[in-house]
Amino acid sequence: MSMKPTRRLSRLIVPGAIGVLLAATGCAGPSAGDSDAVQVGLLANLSGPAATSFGVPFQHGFELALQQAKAAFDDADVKVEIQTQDAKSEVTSAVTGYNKLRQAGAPIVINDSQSPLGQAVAPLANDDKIAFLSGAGSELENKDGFAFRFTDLGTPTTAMGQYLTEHGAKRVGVIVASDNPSFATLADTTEKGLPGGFDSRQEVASTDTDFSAVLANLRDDDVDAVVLSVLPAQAGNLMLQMDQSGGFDHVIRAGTVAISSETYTVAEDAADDFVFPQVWAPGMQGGSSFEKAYADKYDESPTAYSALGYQVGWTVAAAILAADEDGDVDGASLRDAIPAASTSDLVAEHSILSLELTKDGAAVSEGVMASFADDGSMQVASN
Amino acid sequence: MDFWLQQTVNGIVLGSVYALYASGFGLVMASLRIFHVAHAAVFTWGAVVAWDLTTRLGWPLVATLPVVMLAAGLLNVAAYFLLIRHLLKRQDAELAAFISSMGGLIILVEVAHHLLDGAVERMPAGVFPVSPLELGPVRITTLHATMVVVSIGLIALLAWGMAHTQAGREVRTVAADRETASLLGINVDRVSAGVFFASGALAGLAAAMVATAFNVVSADLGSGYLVIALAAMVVGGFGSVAGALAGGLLIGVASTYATGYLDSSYRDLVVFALLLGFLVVRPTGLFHTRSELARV
Repeated sequence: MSMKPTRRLSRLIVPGAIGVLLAATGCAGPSAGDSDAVQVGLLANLSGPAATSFGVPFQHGFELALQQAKAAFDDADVKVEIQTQDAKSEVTSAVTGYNKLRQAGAPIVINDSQSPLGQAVAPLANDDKIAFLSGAGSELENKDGFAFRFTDLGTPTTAMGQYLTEHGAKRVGVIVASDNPSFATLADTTEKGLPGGFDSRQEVASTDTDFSAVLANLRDDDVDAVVLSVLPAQAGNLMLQMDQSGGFDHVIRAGTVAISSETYTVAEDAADDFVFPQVWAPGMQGGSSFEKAYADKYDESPTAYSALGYQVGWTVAAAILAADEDGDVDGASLRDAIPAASTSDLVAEHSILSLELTKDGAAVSEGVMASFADDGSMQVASN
Repeated sequence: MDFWLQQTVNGIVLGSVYALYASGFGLVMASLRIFHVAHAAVFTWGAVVAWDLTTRLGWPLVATLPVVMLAAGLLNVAAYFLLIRHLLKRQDAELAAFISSMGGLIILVEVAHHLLDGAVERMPAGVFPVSPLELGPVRITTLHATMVVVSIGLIALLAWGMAHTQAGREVRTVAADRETASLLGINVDRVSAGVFFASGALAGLAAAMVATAFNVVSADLGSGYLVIALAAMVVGGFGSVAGALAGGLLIGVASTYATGYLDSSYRDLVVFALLLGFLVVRPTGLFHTRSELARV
């Protein structure tokens, strides 16, 4: 029996259309790359609200570190490839991106920031026995020790409370984006450094843009310092509205480790005298060669998240080399290698900030108090 | 007392924007009985146009406003002809128009997403001379004061126009019965397009002021205000211009009191409790009128 032409045509069209649709929706699966190479999964927020402040600078710093580590990889005859997925600052995209990295055979996945993303991915990584390094501010599920946080919110943030006390702040208020657990944690940690705690606590949502009511509350509470535990752009918007509404001329304005250059982009002159703790700021000792290499490669100055990406990149490189030396490079061997790698000689040689990753998945980092220079770049704050 | 006054003024500022948004939304709802959700996208595009003109061409805010109103009005007219008009003769016109408008909302918001590259943009500093004013115990910025005056002034003008002009009478006639209006010689399409234009222009104006005052331009800007506008319409009375003003102000003040006296986490709870309360106790809203015809 001969097949009708339309039926024959549909036999060609239907699989073709399905193929096109699969390709268009990204279901075709990631490229496996060089099968001999260690696939390093970078789950970065390259779009969405966290992209400018966290994801993109982190990616730049991370890639710079792995590029510089190539000589060390070559010496050990280890091939490394970075597989990048955009987490899009959303939990669903982060989980989808993680699954693609798992399918690509990545034994290690690094995510730059955002607690909800880390909290969603960590249980999957634990089940898959994939080492997971996250910039989450909040606790992660850490069954069998596969999840690591590389942000130490405690040490530098507590230092902010002490800074305010030393600078004569007696009544301290806080504005916290309470819908994001990281900012609630940051606010609580800052409070630990204050002898009397916060005298005024104002909660906002991360999407809020009108702050007239909370600013009126702060004026009414007669605070002489305000800590902004919110997203970087929102901190900029808050300072702008503080200046516009008036009544905050003699109030010390302070931030958290989450502050980035995006804050200055929004606030500009309103961010004068704004101080905030950072894991790193330009001008810190030992960072000049990193700053130069970064500026040469990306034609921009590095941020704290660039530095964090760079430091984490070197830690990952050291962990891969250590795991390779001990045998197979897989999730378990990387998990075991990461704590020692974070303080290894290789990392120390290229280190630009203090960052120790512990076996229980926490991080210890001293940080520095920073402010914005006149051109908007970060600088180590003057006392 | 001073604190109460301050928070009341803050609420009126916020409410005036809600009212402007809701009055345009309600105008379409009352005249065509359709839930034109793409109004939210027109609002977003108003902010995007204002941002583009102030950023790229360096225009001051005051110069951009007429252009923004014109652009948003025309966009809404295009939405009427492309999304709504051809569906009005269907038996299920209200549902079909809602779905069509929803499709338009998604497309317009996605285009804005691409244009803004997914980022939240900011109006450039200095587009409007903002300085604090102290009126007795109350602080208000020059921009906030302008927003209140412009919003209330325009809504009052719209209400007057609806009640006392030939165009207003034609809109009310079309709202009552499109076929009868057509038999009476009214160009129904022209009137509907005019309603969409006015509605879009108000949304554009509100968006430009929101973008400047709250320092935010994003693709989701309009969608964020959509539910609040709906609440303002329910509280004020569907289709009543004066009701949209009263509803917007009431929602704005309630929202600000919730933040000021309780906590911002109670804000949505208070606003939507108010909405549900009105739906149960006074479903016609504050400005109940005897005939739907007169409500426009």
